[in-house]
Order: sequence, then C-alpha cells, then structure tokens
Amino acid sequence: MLFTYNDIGKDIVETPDVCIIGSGAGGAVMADMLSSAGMDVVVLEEGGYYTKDRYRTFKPIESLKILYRDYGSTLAFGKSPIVLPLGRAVGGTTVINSGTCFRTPAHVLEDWAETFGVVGASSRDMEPFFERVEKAINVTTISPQVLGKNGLIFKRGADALGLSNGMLKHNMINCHGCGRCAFGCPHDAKQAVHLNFIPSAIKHGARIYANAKAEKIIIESGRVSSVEGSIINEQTDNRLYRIKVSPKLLVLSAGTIYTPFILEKNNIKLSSELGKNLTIHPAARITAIYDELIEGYKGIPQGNYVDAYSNEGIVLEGIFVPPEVGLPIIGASGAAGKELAGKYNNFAAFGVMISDNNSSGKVRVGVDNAPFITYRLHPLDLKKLIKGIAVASEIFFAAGAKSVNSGVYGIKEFRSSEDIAQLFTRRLKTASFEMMAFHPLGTARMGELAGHTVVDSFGKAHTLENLFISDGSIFPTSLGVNPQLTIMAFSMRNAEYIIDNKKRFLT
Amino acid sequence: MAIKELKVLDQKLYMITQAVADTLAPAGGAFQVGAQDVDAALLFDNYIDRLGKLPLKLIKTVLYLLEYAPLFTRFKRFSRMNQEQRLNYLRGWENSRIASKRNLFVMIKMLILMTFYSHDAVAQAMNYHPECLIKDEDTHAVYLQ
Repeated sequence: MLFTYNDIGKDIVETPDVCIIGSGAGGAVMADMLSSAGMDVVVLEEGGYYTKDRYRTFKPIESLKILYRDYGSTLAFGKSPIVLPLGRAVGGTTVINSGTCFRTPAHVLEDWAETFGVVGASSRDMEPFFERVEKAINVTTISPQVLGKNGLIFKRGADALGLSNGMLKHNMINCHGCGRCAFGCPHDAKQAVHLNFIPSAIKHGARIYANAKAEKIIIESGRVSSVEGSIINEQTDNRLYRIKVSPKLLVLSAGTIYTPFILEKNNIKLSSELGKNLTIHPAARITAIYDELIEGYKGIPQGNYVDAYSNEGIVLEGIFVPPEVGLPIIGASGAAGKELAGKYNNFAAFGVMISDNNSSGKVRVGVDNAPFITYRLHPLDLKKLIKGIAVASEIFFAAGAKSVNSGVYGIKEFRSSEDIAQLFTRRLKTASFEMMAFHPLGTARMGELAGHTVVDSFGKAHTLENLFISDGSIFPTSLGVNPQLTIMAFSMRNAEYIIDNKKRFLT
Repeated sequence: MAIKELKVLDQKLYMITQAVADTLAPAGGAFQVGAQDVDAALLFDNYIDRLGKLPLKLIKTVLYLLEYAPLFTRFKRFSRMNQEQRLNYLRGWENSRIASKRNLFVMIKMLILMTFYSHDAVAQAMNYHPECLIKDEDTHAVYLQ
C-alpha cells in the first residue's frame, strides 16, 4: 500500500522487519528486493506522491517548487556557491533527473577495491546486477527522432571537429521528446523508480508512507531500535501526525546529503568520515546563439554526449531548459535581457561535467536545522572545467554559432573561436564560475578499511549491526558519469547480501 | 493592490519588488509585455511562499538593501530613481567584483524573472510554444493543461 498524508487520520506505529528511509534510486530497489524475499518492509518518504496527471499540470517552476528540495536550489557553499538540485518525492531524484544511464566505469570499481578495500564489486561481480536493473527500468539508447535540434547541432559541431560523441542511454519507454525530463515526465516515458520498483515492492506487501519525514533515530544497546517522524501536510508543511517505526533493520537511503545529515542530527557518529568526502560532479552550462531556428526545448534535453576527453575527467552532456528556468540565469537585466529572451528560439545549450576527484566537501547540521553543505573546488578540477567550457565553445562555433556565452564572470560572450583563448590567458578564480552540480556522492563511503570508511563493502555500518546505507553516499569517489544506475545496481547487490544473511540481520 | 493578496511580502517589500521587477523586465523592447503588466512582484510573492525561514529572511534583507543602500551613494532610494538610474544601479550589483554581492543579486533576479517568464502572456510574446516532438493524442493533452 502507498499512503499519503490524505490517507492518514491518526498516529502510526509500525514494527516491520525493515524500515527504509527514502524512496529514490537506492531505497526503492532495496524495498522491492527485500519485500520480494518475504520481508515486511516499511518505507518513509518525505516528499509527496505524484503521477503523470499531476506533472502535466505543473509549469516547470511549479515542479521546482513541488518536486525538488529548496526549489531546486540547494546550495553547496564555497568560493562560489554551487546549486545542487535534489528531488523530493516518491521516487526521489529519479523523478526529476535527466534519465541518463551509465554503468560504473571499470577503472572506478578497480580504484575502490585498491584504495578502499571494497570487496565483491568488480565489473564481473556487478554485471548481473546491472543487467537486472537495466531490464527493470528499460535502459535503451535514445532514438534520434526525439533528440531535438539542440542535440543535433552539438553533434554536428563535434563531428566537424572529429570528437568522439554518441547518443546517451536512458531509462525510458516510448519517449515523446517533450523536453520535460527534469520536471516530471508527462507520459511516464522516463522509467523513474515510482513506476517499477515501488509498485513491485507494494505488490509484495511493502507499505510506502509518502509525506513522512523521518526525524529521530533511536539507538538502544548498540542497535537501532526505532525511527520517529511526522506525517506532513504537503500543502501547508504542517505536522499532522506522528509515525513511529521499530524495525529489526534500518536502511538509510535518504541520499548523499540527507543520509549523513539525519545521522549527525541524531548524534550517531558512525565514523569520523561521516559527512566528509563529498563529490558532486561540478558542471557548467554553455549557451550559443544561431541564425537558424532551434527551439531547444523541443526534444529530449539530455540526449547525446561528447566523451572525447572522458579520460581527463571531462564529459559534455546535453542540457536544455525552458526559458523561465534558463533565461533568469543567462539573461541580462533590462531591455537587453528581453532582447536575449526574444532570441530564445535560436539558443543552443550544452553542459560540461567534470570528475571532481581532487575536490571535496562536507555535510553538517546547519544553524536552521537543515544540512549545511560546504565544498572546495580544487584548482586541478577547475582546470578541467575551464577546458570543458573551451571544448564546448569550440564545438558550438564548429556548428555555426554566431556567439557563445561561457557563463564565466568577467568574460564577454565569444564572437569567434579566437575569443575562447581568454579562458586560458585570464586569471580566472573559482568565484568567477556559476556552477551547478547534479550527482552528490561519497559522504558515507564504503570499504573494508574501518578507519577510512563509514560502511563495509555491502553498505552495513561498521559500528552498528542493524544499520545499512544504500544510496549515493556510499561511493568512495566521483564516478565521472551519471550515478543512478550505479546506485540501483549496488542497492540490488546489497539487498541480496541482506537476504543471504537474513538470520544475522533480522534477529 | 490589496495587502491580503500577498503571502510573504508586506506592502513595502512588494513595492520594492515591483521596482526591481520593472527594471529587470521593463515594458517594450523586444516584446511589449513587461513585469508590471503581469504583476511579477505578486507572482514572485506567491511563488516563494514555501521557502524556508532562512532563505525568506535573506530575500527580504536583500530587497531592503537594494532599496536603501543607494541612499549612501546616490542619496536616493532605489524606488525613487528613474529607470536608467535603476538599471545602472542593478548592474552594479550584477557585475560586482564581490562574489557574494553578485550572488545575492542573482538569487533575487532569478526568482523574479522565473515568475515573469513563466507567465502565459510572456511566453506568447516570446513566441515560446513548447510541444513534444512526437505528437499523438496523449502529447496533445500535455500542453492543453
């Protein structure tokens, strides 16, 4: 069963085998796997439950308000604040992500084994889990039919420069190319986990509580004894009822930001590494103006990529947003801004994403009882970002752009590819860049080196017998690619570990 | 404009927001519709009602700063300036060498312009017509709502 605040009229008390906090890529897979194995599962999800019928009624900025935390503007503070959009709904960030699917690169898995002592997670070990997840969410290569002109233009430029590029794989069925992946797919074409793993978990008896905010984790005699929280009215944010869950096993899948936050808030010091080692895949958006009509909002926003520099930790991926989301960032003030707005149909945009293995951040409990995120971008990673911006700008000019906006403070729009050199000749500081980041990872990293990691290779807390973590926070380093498939595959693997050791964990 | 329509701002802050919005998106130019025509200040007020206490305090503080800080440099409140003076003043924030000053302004600008460009009349004026690439009865229904 799935309950929202509307279905609940009193305080709730539950005593399941397993309580899972969070229903995103990690929590949903875990809920399905454990309930399918006959365990009694309760899931607490802070966000609401929405279907395509609701998404259709949302304007993009309403989606930002309803489906995202902090209106899509959760900030990581540092020399330049970085916007970190996080989903908050049944299905978590899978509801509002681009849908891009990559398997974990083999070299990343090897690094985890060598550096952090992660066992049982080689490419060969993970292969069956990737296969099962890909089948469940229907991972398929995007059809050029729904790519849209924004993607085609970038492909044209990359081809002209001879740069390796291709179509991305997405979790989708019958995509119509409506350009709304990030605002809730209006056709249920994107196979977010509320369309597959969650219904399957419900079929196997799991009880999903939407609008249920987990607040307290109670530890007694060295074990998690209960989770307490509130049922929230999603219209007013008022607390309506209390919910208390006393499980045999707790799985935290609240995401890389909220998993360490809820633990720290409850003074549960799993490790000195908890909340540290945050990586986020910093990203920049480059825009260009063409003479030709593009209407970049028609078509899949993130359909293709350029991986010519992926060995340097730089990946370029499509990104296009509707004018009400894009123009306020790039547009000038006054009449000049409106003039730019009048050209939005001639805009193209692409994203630069970097592996931030040299940088790191922290998640702490802030003064307003919300996560306080800090992040320091290392100069080596900044160099990657600058190179990525330069490459994207070259590609746009190779495809016939009239001008390119790098989004870098103090640098005027490029009128030709010669202007791009400014990116390397000027002394640019981190604060000159307006960045976004999309894939927070690493704040409860896994491995067998207890002093350096928070959980073991299967997500079990080193210091608590009945607490697992199953979300992006357990990945020790940046992936360099979109992480949803990695999160799901590891969640499936770790669920099997719990099932195989049921007697140990469910006593 | 009755105060009761406002969810977050008081009348004073609403007036300041109106002045900022009118400067960011004045009527005329590339297309006729401006912030005043769609009451972008009211849209902004209604939009930010679910923000947390801390960001709301920050927004209100920045709006007051935008209004009163020019008293020390230009001997005039922002809302008393003419359009050209206002635009120059806002550009000062937007292009400031102090990153935090720039970022605070960008936050206000983003939220105001997001609500402005979201208005149907503005989308129409911009010739912005979102639609799905593959059209069938189902996709038609998406944009009817």
